Amino acid sequence: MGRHLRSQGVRMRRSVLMLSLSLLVSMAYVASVSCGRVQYALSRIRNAARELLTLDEKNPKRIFEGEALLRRMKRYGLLDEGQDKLDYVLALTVENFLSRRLQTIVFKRGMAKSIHHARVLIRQRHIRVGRQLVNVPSFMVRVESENHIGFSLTSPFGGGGPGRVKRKNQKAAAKKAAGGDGDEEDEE
Amino acid sequence: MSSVQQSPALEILVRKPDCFSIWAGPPFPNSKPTSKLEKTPCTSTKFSEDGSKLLVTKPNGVVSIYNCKSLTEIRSFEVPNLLASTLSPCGTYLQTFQKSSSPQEKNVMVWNVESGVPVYQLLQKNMSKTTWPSIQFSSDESTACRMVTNEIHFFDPKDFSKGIIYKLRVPGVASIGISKAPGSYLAAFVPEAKGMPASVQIYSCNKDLQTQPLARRSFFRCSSVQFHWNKDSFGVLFVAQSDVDKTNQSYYGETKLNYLTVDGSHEGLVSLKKEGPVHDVQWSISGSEFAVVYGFMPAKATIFDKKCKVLVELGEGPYNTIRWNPKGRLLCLAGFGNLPGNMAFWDCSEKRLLGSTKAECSVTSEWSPDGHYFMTATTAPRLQIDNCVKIFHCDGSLYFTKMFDRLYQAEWKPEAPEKFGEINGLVKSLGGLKIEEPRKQAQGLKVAQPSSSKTANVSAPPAKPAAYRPPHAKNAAVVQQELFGGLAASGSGEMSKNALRNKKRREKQREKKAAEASGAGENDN
Repeated sequence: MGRHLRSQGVRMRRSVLMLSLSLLVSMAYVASVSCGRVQYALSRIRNAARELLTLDEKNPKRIFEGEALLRRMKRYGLLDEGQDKLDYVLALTVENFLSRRLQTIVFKRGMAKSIHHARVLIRQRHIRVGRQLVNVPSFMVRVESENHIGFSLTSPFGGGGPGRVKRKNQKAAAKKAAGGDGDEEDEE
Repeated sequence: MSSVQQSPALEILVRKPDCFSIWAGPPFPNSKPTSKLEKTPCTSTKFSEDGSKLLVTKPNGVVSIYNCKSLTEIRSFEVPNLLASTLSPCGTYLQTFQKSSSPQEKNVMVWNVESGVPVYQLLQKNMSKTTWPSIQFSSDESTACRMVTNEIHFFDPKDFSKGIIYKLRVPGVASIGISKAPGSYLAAFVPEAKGMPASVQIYSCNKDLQTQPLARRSFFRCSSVQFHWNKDSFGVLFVAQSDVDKTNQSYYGETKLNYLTVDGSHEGLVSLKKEGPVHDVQWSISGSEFAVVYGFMPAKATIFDKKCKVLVELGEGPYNTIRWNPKGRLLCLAGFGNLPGNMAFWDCSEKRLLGSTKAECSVTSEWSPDGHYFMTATTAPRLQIDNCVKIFHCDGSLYFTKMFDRLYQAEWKPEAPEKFGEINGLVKSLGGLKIEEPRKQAQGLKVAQPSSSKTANVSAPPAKPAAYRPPHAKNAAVVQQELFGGLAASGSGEMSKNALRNKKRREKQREKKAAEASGAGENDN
């Protein structure tokens, strides 16, 4: 996987350079590697849609695979309910994909102070989707899971007990109150 | 005693500078309201929530309570240095806030209205939006509580002499909202502190169940919260507002609508299809659905049921206010404030637009308690001119309007909606109205096609104003009259403005040429 990515790296970096400046600036929090990853996924989807559009309207392959493609796009929130033609798939952009990442959605829903804070929260295991704790900022959020994003139950933000640092401070404070000065110097 | 079938009469309170009067509500005989209570001096007035008592503040710190049925004064209280006063929802208690003259004096007093005796006193240093009224009641007065730093104190509304019955510890609580009816839940808002997110928690008002919150929702980016409880206390909608918009889309900050149910079935954001602030959210009177107006202008309006599923989409438009009809089915979407005042009346169960009209510069708007009329008022001090009261039918046609020199307050006397009959007959008959009889209210007609009712009932929007032309412009009628008035009368008659202008120009050129020719001729000579 790593070697595969590295060989693709050159190709990806070139295509990332083609991205509009505005997109790069607004999505600056996303590393160019994952931008390239998204572009790669988008180009494969577009190729599939383009190929299906060359087929005849009633071709069973077009109907079957076209429906499946549209269903996947709608499931991930890239297409709206009203957009049910393959042509809309061709109009998708990298921004649509990037706005479905868990990191952006956590920020947009008000669960984080900034988009960088969102990444930190996800990585530090505070966010769950449904019941599952998700640790990955590039998790593509499905439309039906979007309403079930919250703080995880064990996280101090979501009602669990205090975190590691706070527990340590509380212990030190308790020790200081009970033990006196001598013991306190031994504790590190 | 009147029978249960008889609906109470509607009343309107109108307050002008220094005095107020109460009109007998519509329908008005002779198109003029009759006064039930003549001008009485006052500085402010407020009905109790159930409409049984009226609180009148007179100058010199005198507070009078009137019985609304007989419109006579029951009791009068002398309260020196009075800053604020409020009635409890059923009108049983009066809270007053006085400016404290000495640090020890208890400046918030709770009086029993019937007996006139103060039942409770406490000291409160200052008054802010979240801390007044000091003691909050539920709508049926079954619970009373007060918020202090880090704690919420509960009282027994039937007997204040017991004092604080129990305390609920909520560290950092900034504002609370008691559920309306039944009053058994309390929503508390704790703002962000040192990295911990802001949170809204629902607690039960019952002492035994108070160890853990029943439901809780944490979020960042919020500085204040407005609570909207449901009628049967199924859940609370809260709008989280922040002063700074971190997504850099709006100068005014951002608002997010969240819904928290008591049984935990839904906790989180209400999924809104359009980006932008939440302008207004209102529960229907029955409590089983709520309407939201959201998004950057033109705003979208949607009705959700109490499980947060979309029921009706009401389209887009310049709206930022919602007013539910007390009888439940009708809804008024309006755009007041900085919007031009468009109002659209919808029938939600049939998903049909009943009518639309405009009420410019309105400050307040309210349905009548029986649901037949909708009153908008333009009041000072927000607007100093064009103060007026307008009353519309529930389809948008104007019924009555009255201008005032200065109007401070105009509101209906609150009544429980159950006391009035259904308006089904009214809505059905509106469907069958013809264009030449806009006000006839026949009973029992079948619902006609929506197109005819729409055309019959839509009052014509005001004609688009003509473009402004300054008086010195060539095309202005005044100028034309001056220039060509004589000419027009004499010969030109039907000539257009351009034709007249060209004619004048030609004549001028001719004169010029003649002058030049003669001049040249003279010079030559």
